[in-house]
Amino acid sequence: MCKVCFKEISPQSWLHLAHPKAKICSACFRSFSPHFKAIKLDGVTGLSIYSYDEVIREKLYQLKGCFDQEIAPVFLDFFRRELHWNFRKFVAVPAPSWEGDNQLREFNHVVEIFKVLGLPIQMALVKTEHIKQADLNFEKRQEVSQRIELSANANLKGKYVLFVDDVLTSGATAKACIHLLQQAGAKKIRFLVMAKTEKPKEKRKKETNENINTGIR
Amino acid sequence: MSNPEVGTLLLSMDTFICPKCGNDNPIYLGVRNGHLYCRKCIAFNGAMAQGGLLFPKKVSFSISYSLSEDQKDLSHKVNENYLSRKNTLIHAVCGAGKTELVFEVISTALSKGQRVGFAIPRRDVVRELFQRLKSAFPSVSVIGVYGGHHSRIEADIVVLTTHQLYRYENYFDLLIVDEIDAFPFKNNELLQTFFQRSIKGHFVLLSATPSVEMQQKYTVGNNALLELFSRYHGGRLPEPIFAIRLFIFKYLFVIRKLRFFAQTKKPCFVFTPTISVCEEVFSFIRWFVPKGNRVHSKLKERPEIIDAFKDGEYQYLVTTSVLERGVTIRNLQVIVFDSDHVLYDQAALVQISGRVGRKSDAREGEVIFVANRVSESMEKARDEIRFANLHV
Repeated sequence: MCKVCFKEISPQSWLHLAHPKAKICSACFRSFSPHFKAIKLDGVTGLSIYSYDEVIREKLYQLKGCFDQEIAPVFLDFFRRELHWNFRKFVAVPAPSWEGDNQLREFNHVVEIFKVLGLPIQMALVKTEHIKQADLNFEKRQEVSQRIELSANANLKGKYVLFVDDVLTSGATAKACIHLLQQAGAKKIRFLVMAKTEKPKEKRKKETNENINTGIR
Repeated sequence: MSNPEVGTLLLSMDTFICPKCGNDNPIYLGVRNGHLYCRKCIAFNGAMAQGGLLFPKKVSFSISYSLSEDQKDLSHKVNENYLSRKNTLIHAVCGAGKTELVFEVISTALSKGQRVGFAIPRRDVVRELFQRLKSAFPSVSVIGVYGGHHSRIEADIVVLTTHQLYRYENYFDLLIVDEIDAFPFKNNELLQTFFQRSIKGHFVLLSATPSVEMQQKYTVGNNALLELFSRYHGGRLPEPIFAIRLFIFKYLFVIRKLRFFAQTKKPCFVFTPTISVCEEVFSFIRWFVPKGNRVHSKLKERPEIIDAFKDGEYQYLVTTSVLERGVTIRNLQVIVFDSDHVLYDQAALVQISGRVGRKSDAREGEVIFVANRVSESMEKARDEIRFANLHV
């Protein structure tokens, strides 16, 4: 059963011969159009999997806004083996989200998306204020570091840490989190985002070019 | 199934109906945090689409006492029947707590966002039941609809007389009809038609004395018959005592008994077959026994008199069959005057006997049939009560 279009998954498709446990049919998966990109933020390398297009936006809204927990595993279903192998030594640290939102949703969407990778997950970061990055302009977004803290029971000293998030736009949150993880004494830091916004606005582009170096792999 | 929670979840998966889009196909269902949700209409569930329900609301109910094991069993069975889309007839003795048996199925239906109706032939019982349901289901809207009281006719639970069913066409997902064997619903084709017409889903019928045809009908097809012979407190049904007196001695006997009850501070009902007999009896015995009143359908201030009696203002009430059903008064005693009258059939006499000993702290009580002779229905009623007592 496909989690997106509710149709029976045909076991004959090539994708499903390779990934028999996948919960999404090949037609829906093709509509997702994966687009791998290597990103560098403050000297830390990372990977984004999709571009934040209309399909991903819709499905992500279904997960975050409509509280549809069942759709969470479909995003990384076909890459779980490779990603798990790539990051097998890492501890996943999800981007912080406001506790009230999680209680309303009854799940943490970032955890749900990246759970399929089978990495150990540590909730090392917490958000202290309820302000959405999406509602702010570029300048205000940079102040995000004031709203994020290391949680009291974070234990990352000497570990390989994989910072994971759903969407990367300006990179402000990611940078602030990576900075905090460095402070916590992580030995090696990588980050993995599910989707990256493709075409930043003109004004933002000028400023981000200095900070974010994007290269197509 | 090794894990019981998974088992119940799978079970409820078959019976889940989305309150928003009516979807009951399990392929569209998702599980979040241990409960089910509909994924078919998920786009209408977000923060942008406010005002709708995210989940079937969990409707809880409270009962002032704890149900007995038999009651719990039966209550679950009624619920299962409803979920498997069957109609149910509950045959339970008077004072078995029939009303409480259907609370579980009511809350199930309400949790699915369905409309529940509770119909009873008698107006006085509607008023009493309305109060009971209102206190049992504090989180939902309950209204009573009866003659002269029908300004609002839509709510989560509608408590109504069987006559008022004509207002609702193809409306109730769950319709409960209490006292199906009572006048005027019994043998009334018009009311039966209204009843059939107002049902959209399924129905549960309650009776202490269903007719043989009724019982036969509910052993076949999409219907189920459930029986409960013990009262909720485990006590016996009081067996009637026959007092055969003639002429003035009938009155003297009633006066003597009423005086005795007054001394021991026990409230008492004197049932009479007709309104004229009721007035006649009351006009005579009021001179000998103080603190009494009479109740019948022609009396406008009937509700006030009944309330006053419940408050202990009156020692006894002379009444017609209006108080025959659905009345619960602590430590009540009953005298049936002229119980050999043609109007008293077996069902009515059993019902009247069932008024006694309904509270768990006052299980005993006297039922006295005062008559000129022992009629057939009196004997049958006594036999039925004895039969039910065998099962206790």
